[in-house]
Amino acid sequence: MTAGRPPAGDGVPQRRSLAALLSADELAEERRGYLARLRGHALTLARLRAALRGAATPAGALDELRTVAHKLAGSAGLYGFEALGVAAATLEESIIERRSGDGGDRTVAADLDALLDRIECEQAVAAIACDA
Amino acid sequence: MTDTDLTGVDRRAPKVLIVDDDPAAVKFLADRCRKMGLTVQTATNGLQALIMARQNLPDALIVDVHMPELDGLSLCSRVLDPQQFGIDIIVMSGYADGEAAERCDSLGATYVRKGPALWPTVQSALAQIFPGMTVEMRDPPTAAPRKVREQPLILVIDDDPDIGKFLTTRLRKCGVDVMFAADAKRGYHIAVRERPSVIISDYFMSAADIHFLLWRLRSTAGMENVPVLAITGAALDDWTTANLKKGEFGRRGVERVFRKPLDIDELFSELKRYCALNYQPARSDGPATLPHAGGLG
Repeated sequence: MTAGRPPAGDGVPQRRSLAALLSADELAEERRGYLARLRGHALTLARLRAALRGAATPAGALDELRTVAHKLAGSAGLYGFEALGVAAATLEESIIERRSGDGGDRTVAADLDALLDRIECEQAVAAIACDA
Repeated sequence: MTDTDLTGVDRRAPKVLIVDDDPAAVKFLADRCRKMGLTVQTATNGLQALIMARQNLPDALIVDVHMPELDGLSLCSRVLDPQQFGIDIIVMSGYADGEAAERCDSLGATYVRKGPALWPTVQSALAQIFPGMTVEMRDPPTAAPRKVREQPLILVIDDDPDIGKFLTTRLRKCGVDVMFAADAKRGYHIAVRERPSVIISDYFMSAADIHFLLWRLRSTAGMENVPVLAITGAALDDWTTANLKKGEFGRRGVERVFRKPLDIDELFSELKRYCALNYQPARSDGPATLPHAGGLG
């Protein structure tokens, strides 16, 4: 007994591996989108870098910095920017150490500079690839 | 004098076992079958259903094709074993599945397609199976979901939209519906309304975190057992992880904790335990890392 016989052309999706989930074009588009959103994070990081250069670190600046670093540490690797993710995780660890009294502003500032350099590097590589 | 057992179940009412990895579909059908006067039992995967069927000997089985642990058609083959017991079967599919329809024909089961016509079709089939239960529902359940999705729903909760976007894009390619919430409060409300098969939730979120989510879910009727997978960017100590899994006050905790950056293969393989995900684990056919990691600029 069969009710609601299936129409043609609307079949069961095939089981796909991770490599087959997205096409090369979809992956490239996804990376471009992530890089575009990264510009917003970079602006925030640059603003916080300037704040860290001041005589006293403004209240909340480290919280905001940790939030951005935490997000980048979690997402960058997913989109194929592993080195950027590692730099963000290093910065987050520095902030945690600074709060626990084990680190200093110099380490946080140095790790923040390293993260900003990495972002700039990834954007430059993407721009060259785009021109090519 | 009524013919009920000690649990108050009317022993004269035919028993129907409803099996689907989509809790919304289970509730939709269970509410309506009860309105018809049937005694209803439910399961969310094939293996659980097989055990229940052998223990309780239902008169009818309403089963989804695509399920984790044991798919619907394999379940049908096992419960239709003549050495076991007689049972009428209605098989549902969210997709147009010609092969499943043919197998239903060979098994003598009724094949129905999920969608707007699901309940009229199921009700008609039940009326043929149980001629004495053909009372038209004058008062359809109002609290129940109004429609059944064609595929299971996964709810992703994370305050980082980049994580949400990444998971959503890939899960949809695996044949499931996905909804996204940016904090646990919104996630909780979506979960209660939509009844996902499984929830993936970030551990720490600034607005409301996973502890809030678990506390609200586990104290809401019907949400006590929805599986939750935790993802975290911070290293949790063993005590925190153990308590997160164990749950509080005897309530169910999370199934597993995954560390960011996520191993997608590991996460998706775990998801396959709770809903029918059309996903082939990468461990068996290639590297577990993302294909674009070194290849696209």
